Formats: sequence, C-alpha cells, structure tokens
Amino acid sequence: MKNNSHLSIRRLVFVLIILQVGFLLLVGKLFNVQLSNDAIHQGPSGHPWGSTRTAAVKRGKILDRHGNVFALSRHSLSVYADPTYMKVDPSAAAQRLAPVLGVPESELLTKLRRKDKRFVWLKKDIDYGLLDEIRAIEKDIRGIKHEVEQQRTYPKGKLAAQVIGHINDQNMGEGIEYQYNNYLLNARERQAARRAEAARNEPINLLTKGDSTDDYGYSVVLTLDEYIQYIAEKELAAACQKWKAPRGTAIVLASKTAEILALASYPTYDLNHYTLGSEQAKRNLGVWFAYEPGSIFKIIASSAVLNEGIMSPESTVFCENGRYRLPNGRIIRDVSGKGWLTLEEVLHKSSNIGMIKIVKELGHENLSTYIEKYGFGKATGVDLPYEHKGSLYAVKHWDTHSLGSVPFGQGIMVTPLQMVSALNVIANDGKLLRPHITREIRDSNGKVIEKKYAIDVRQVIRPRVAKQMAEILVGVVEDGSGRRARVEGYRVAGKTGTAQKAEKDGKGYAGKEIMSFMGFLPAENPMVSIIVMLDEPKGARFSGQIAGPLFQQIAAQTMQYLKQTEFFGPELQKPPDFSSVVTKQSPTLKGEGL
Amino acid sequence: MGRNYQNSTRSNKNRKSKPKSGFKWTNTRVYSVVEEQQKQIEAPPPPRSGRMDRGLIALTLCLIAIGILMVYSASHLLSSRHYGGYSYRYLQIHIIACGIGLVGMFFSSHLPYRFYAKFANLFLILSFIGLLLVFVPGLGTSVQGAEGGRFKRWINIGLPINFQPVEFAKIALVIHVANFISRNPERVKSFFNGVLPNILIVGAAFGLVYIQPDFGSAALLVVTVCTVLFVGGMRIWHVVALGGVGSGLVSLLIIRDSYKLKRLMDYLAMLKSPDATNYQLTRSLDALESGGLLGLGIDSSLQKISRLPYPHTDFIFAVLGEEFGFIGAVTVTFIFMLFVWRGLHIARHASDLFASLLAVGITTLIGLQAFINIGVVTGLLPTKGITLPFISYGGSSIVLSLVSVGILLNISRSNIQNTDE
Repeated sequence: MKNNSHLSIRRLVFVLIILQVGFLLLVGKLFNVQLSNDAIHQGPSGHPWGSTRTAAVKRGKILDRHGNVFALSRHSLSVYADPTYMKVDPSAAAQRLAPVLGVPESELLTKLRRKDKRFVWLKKDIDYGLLDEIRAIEKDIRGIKHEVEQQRTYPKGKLAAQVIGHINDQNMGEGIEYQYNNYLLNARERQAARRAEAARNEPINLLTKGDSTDDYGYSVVLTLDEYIQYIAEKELAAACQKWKAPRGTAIVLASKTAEILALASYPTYDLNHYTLGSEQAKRNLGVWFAYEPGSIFKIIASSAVLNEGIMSPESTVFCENGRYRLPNGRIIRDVSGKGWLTLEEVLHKSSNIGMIKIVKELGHENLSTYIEKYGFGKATGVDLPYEHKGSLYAVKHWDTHSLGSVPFGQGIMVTPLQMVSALNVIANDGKLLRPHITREIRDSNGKVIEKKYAIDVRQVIRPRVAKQMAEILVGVVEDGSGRRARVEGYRVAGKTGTAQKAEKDGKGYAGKEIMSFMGFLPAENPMVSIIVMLDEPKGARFSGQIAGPLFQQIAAQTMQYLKQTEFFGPELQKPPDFSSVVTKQSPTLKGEGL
Repeated sequence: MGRNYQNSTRSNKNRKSKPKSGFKWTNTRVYSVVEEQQKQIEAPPPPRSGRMDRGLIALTLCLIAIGILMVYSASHLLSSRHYGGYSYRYLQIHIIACGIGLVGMFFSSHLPYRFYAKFANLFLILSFIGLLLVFVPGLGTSVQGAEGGRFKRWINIGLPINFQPVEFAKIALVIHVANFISRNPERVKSFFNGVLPNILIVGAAFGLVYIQPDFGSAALLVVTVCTVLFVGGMRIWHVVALGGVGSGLVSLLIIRDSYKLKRLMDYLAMLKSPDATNYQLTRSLDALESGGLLGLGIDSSLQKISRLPYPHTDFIFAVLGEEFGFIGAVTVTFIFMLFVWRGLHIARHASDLFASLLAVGITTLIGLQAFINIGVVTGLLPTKGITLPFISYGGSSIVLSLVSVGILLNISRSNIQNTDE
C-alpha cells in the first residue's frame, strides 16, 4: 500500500455512503410514487389515465347551425379530505368549510373526525366558481383537497345522437365527437392526440394552423338544423313504429350547398346515458348502412341514357308485357305488365324490364361510368366517421345476371347518403357536390378558425338533362308510383324504391324488403333533397305506401319551416345566402364564447 | 508497480512447485506446464496477473441487456413513426452502439491503465477541441428541444451514431485530475498550486458545456471532479468554501436564464402539489404510477405511445417503471447501487493512487448520472437532460460508459487483493 498511502479510505467510504443513500432515497421516492398513495391518486378519477381528463380545461361545444348547443362540457369541483393528514382542529376546519360547501357543520365534523380513513368526500359536484375560495382553504388547512371534474352533457338528449356521437378516454368513439376530436380538445391535448395519431401511422385530418393558446377546445358548428332534425326524427320514429320496421333513416340535404340539415336514424338512444344505449342504436345508418337500393337506382341509368343522347324521354322500349326471360333463364317480372312504354313511363311505372332494355341501349360500360360518376363505390367524403363506401362488385364484373339486376338497383350496395347525393345531382343542374355536416370551426372566443364549403366534385350530367330528369321525376310523384309523396303547394320530384333484401348467406331474396323514397322540392328551384328509408317494414308491399307518406310528412313540415323562417332568404327564387342566416338568428354565437 | 512485480514472481514460484506434486501420474501434461512456466519466467513478468472483477462485468452486462429490451420497447413506436413503419431502427443503432462499446470495453480492460496517465494532457486537449467543434456550423448538429430551445450537443460524424463530445470530456477530465493528484499528492492540499488549476480547467469545460446548453452534464462534470479532488485529499475547508462559491454561481446562472428558472420553479411548485405544470414530469409520474407494484408487462406502457417525451432516452426509466412496476424499477436501482459499490471497492484496493482516483471518478460519473436520471424521472430532482447509463438509447454515451467500465476492469486486474490471493 506504499504508493497508495495518500488515498483517504475514510473519504472514499464517505463518497460510497453518500451515493448509496442517494439511491436509497430514489427507492423511497419510487415507493412513494408507485405504491403508497394509490388511494389518493386513483380515488376521485379512477384509472390514472382518467386523471388527465379532469384537468381544468374544457372540451369544445358542438352546436347546430343556429348556435343551439348539442354538446358542452361543464366543470365542477369535488372536495375531499385526508383526515389523518389534518393538523387543524376538525371543528375549526368544519366551521370554515361549511358555508363554502353548503354542508351542515355537524356532517362535516363527523367526516373530518374519522381518523381510520385517509380519503373522504366532503362534497361532490359543486360550482366551479368556488375554485378560488377552496384553494384558499387548501392553503390554510392541510389535508383538504379538491378535484376538478369535467362533465360532458348533451342538452338535447336523444336528438341527433348518432351524429353527435361519443368519445371515450382512449379517444375512440363515433360521430362528430370522434371525427372532430382534435378540434374539440384543448390545445395541449390536441398536441398529444397529434402525436398519438402519428404513432399509429394513420393519415388524419389535423389542425396545423391557428393553434389557440388557451386551454379551451374549439367548437364545431354543424349544418344541422335543430328543428328539421327534430321533424325528421319524430316522423321517422312514428313511421318505423307504425310499420314495425327495426331500423330506418332519413336525410335532409340542402340542395344547393349539400349541407346536411337533418340526419336521423332509428332506433336512437340518449347521449347522456351512453352506456345504456344498444349498439344497434348507436350506428349512424345514413352513412353506415349499405343496402341494395332497388328502384330508386333507376334514375342513374335513365339520366345516363338521356345524357348520352341515345334516347329522349319520349323514346320507347318494349316491355314484354310484364314477363321477360333473360338469356340465362332468369325471369324478370313487372308488377303491371305493359307493352311499349316511353322512357318517362318506364320510370313512372317503375318497370324493371323497361330498365333492362334501356341499359341495353346504353351499354353496360356507359352505365359503369355513370355509376362511378354519380359517386357510388366511393365514400362521399362527408365529415362523419365510419362511412361505408358501398360495393360495386357487380358493376366491375358484368355478366348476364348483373346486367339483369343492376339497372334496377340490385346486386350493388349503396348508402342512403350516397343515394341522396346522387339525387342531388339532378336537383343541382347535374353537379355532384360533396355533402358535409360541419359549417365551421370556432375557437373559444367565437372566432371562426375554419369554414367548410360545398365541394364541387364533378359535372355528372348536362343541366338540360337534369331538368328533363326532374320533370320525369315530378311525373312519378304526380301520377306514378309516388303519388302519396305529394306535398301541397309544391311540385315534388321523387322516386320510390322497393328493394328485396338479400339473405345474409348471400343466397337469394326471401321476402324481406327495404322501402325507400327520395325526392327534392320544389322541383323548379330545389331547396331540399330528402331520402327516407325503412328496413324490413311489415304490412305493405310497396314503398309508395310506406316511404311516400313519411317523405310527405318530413317534406311538408320542413318546407313550412323553411318558408316561415325565410331560411334561404326572403325570396324563393334567389339563390340561398347562408352567411346571413347565422348572424341573424343566433346573436348568442358571438358573445357567449363558444 | 514494484510491489506488483514481486507479487507476480512470488506467485510464479508457488505455482512452480505444483508440477512436482503432479509428476507421478501425468507426465505429458506436466511437461507442457513446465515449458509454459519457463517461457513466462523468461519474459518480463506481467504486471497485471489478477482477475478482472467479475461482479462488475455481470452487473454491466445485466444493465446492457435490460437496456436493449427497454430501448426496443420504448422506441419501436417512435421508430415506426420516423421511418415509415419500420420499428427496429433505433434498436439496431442501439445494438450496434452496444457492440462497439463491448469491443471497446474489451480493449480498454486489456490496455494498462498507466497509458491514460501518460496521455492525460492529450486527452484533455482533444476533449476541449471536441467541445469547441460542437459550435462549428456544419459539424455540430443542433437538436430542437422540448421547450423550443436549440441544443448543440452532438457532432455529426457521418454515421447514424452522433458523437457527443461531452461524454468524452467527462472521462478526460477525470483522467487529468487523477493524474494531476497522483503525480504529487501533497500539492492538492494547497489551494493555489493544487486546487485552483483543476478548478480553472473544470470551470472552462463547464462553461463550454453550459453554453451548448447542457446544464445537467456541466454540473455532473463539476461534481465528479470535485469528488475526485475530495477523495484525493483536498482540504475540508477548501471543499466547503468551493461548495459555497459554486452554489452561488449556479444560482446566479439559474436566475439569469428564464428556461432554467422555469424548470426550477416548476420543480418547487411540484414539491408543493404534485399536479403542477411540468408536462414531462407529470407524464413520467403518470407512467410510474400506472406501473404500480408489478407493472403492466413488457411493451404495455401506455404513456410511451404519445404522452411521455423522449421515452427511449431521458425518460426510459419511466417506461421501465410502467412496464415492470416498482419491482423492476427498484431492481435496476439496486443494480446501480451494486455497481457503485463494486467500483469504489476497486478504487479502495487499486495498487496506486492514480488508479484509485480514476476508479473513483469513473464510478462517481456513472453512479451520479444514474442517480440524476432516476431522480428526474421520479420527480426527486428538477428536470435535466441526462441519460440513464447503459440503458438509455444514445450512441456515444453507451460506448464511452462501456469503455470506462473497461478501464475499471483493468484497474481491478491489478488490485492488491486479487494479486495477494
């Protein structure tokens, strides 16, 4: 040890002890964080993940186009105590707390005297405005603590439940709450969500501009109109109950702007009791339910053949007197057999054989092109999650069978929204617009962050052909299969559809039907395009009897409302001006701080 | 060294007697052993004939293994995000770094430690050049920090592993101070001849690291060098005086710098109420808390998905705590405790003062780094950007940590205790 005599062993041991004590401190701290205070941390908020949700920040609101609140977050305080940790005399503490919490002193006293417990709620769900007072008390009295809780409430309850949707702690959910989660979250959570989404490698629609610095989320202003939504839901539910249909949907679209004014699904549920709702009720059938459309699909081929100039409305086809054998042996029947019919009459009478003949003239390649041009087989791009894009298998693989079924809407799958947006092409001078359900995003001060407009997808048919088609469809309602859908005072252009429902195993059709009707009005200057659909109604054979009256109910009340409120401006002939509507009807939008 | 020589010759003599006793039953084997012995006697006796400290090797390998596991678990999401769905990028680089480090450890454990004393000044100059190169545009890689500041800590050497000169500077400074003291152990008792020159050099290094800015590493540097000086025999009142002046200077620096001040205030606020504003720490505590006693299981950390910043580097311990719980976290802490114990044990029994002080320096460096990292993750200390040795992802850090373990191992080979056996 000669060379090493200068090494001070004592100091070395001192360093060793210091370092080891340091590590033991870490172990103590780990124990403290990971094990000891579970009760306090997890007591109020349950899972530790939940605790981040209870931070003092608000999720944005969801409003309809007039500023009526569909969803909002409310803050509340809950005060709890750790009696064993308290140094102050319980009676003094109770005296101080009683007036603030509004709890009798004696009740507080018994709670604070419980030395066997380390956690007692003193008062739950008190006004958030008392935060400062409670903070002051916490400073003075050790062992008193509060928890800020955030509650999402849905003042309208069941109204538009499937549109508004729901979101859970893992940021998974449905409806607008899910679709616009990144906007509704506050700035800090938005960033966290952005990272989470990026980690999942999913391309998403994220907010990259105008991050607001405050802790409040953005508000989403929908295109929905509370009243029209209410009409649609009320009438849909009544019809479904009357005809014992397990599910149904109704969509009201503003024709010129493709704004969704109402999107109703039946059955429905109460958003405030999300967990009690059945899974069936939570599906937004308008965008999620893919079905074989049936006769309402006939407008596609008819408008195509007109647009190609192959036929005119007066051109005739031979309808085989109601019985037509396809080359593969399958027999197509019409309800009422006719001989020669004009194209117009084929639609009025909804003749399947006539449609097959028309498609023969058109050529199936042309039909495929038009089906895709109308937007089928692709998601419409509406800003709602889980949109079904339908299925065009038969159109991609033409054969004798599909040639004998696609023209009148069998063998392909579409969603009600796709269908109504295709109808809107005719209402809108041949232009396909992308439907949307959000008007704008606003920050917590009511400033508009982002505005949504109708997106012009493509010109599908020529305006003149659209007018011709509209006139033909008016004929359907005036003296064709859709007579029950007539609305007093307006010319309605519409089309019925009764689709046989394929069995789940894919082997044919077994008597179940989907009845639908879609139309727009007024025919000469369309304001709204509406589709109604009932799945498996019982007691009637034709959709004219079921869907027609439902359409009539919704359309009549909607038109009355639109007229009374001068929804599209004072004069019907003027193109609708939406910008003035919101400011005029909802002065609350600005001041309240959405 | 002289003592070493004697020891080894003596042990050779002892062994020489063995073949005689074995002569009776195996001739051939005996001859070969005798031949070998003769060769050894002819050559100059190896100065380090002792065994390496196996405990230290085992602890290091343990930590490396845990590190590889945790780096994969913590980084695969990040990697697949940064590299288009490829999850193994960071793991690959980490394994390569571990490989290079282990090779480096092997070499340094066979390189006589006297070598470092010889080239102490060269190392010091190189490390200062390295610290300056960080600021050369084009060479220095700056990284966007969490709060928006820019950090120039890395040198781009055209490899996926960026070189962080401060890692090298730490060891170079320890070598320098150990060499300085061991050359003339009495000198360190004097303030102007012994303490001040070292303080000036460390102060210069501190300044360069501080303006990168890397306050954590700079502080680590100073504390480590002071520990070496302390064990090397610096006077107690010098220690006290320096500690006073040092903490005064540091508080001045903190008050001047709003970023650091904010961190400190966050820390103090956090001590008062745990749900304060520090984002990183809150996330890290959330992770530890959700780990509980046994943890959520490997790769089930929820916080690492998006909430926890730097999950594979500075906050890897939080991921470990969430996935393996209190048990896992404490196990790793105990491994570091054992590591420090082994390191200082080696220092205690080293054959000369230089080796002792070098061992103290290296052990303190690694032990303190682990302490600070875990302290930051658990909220015991204010937030600093310091990695967890052997476990965190980080090329130069892991290579140089392993090389310094190699130096410790080499010192342990010549330990008095070992050679006496």
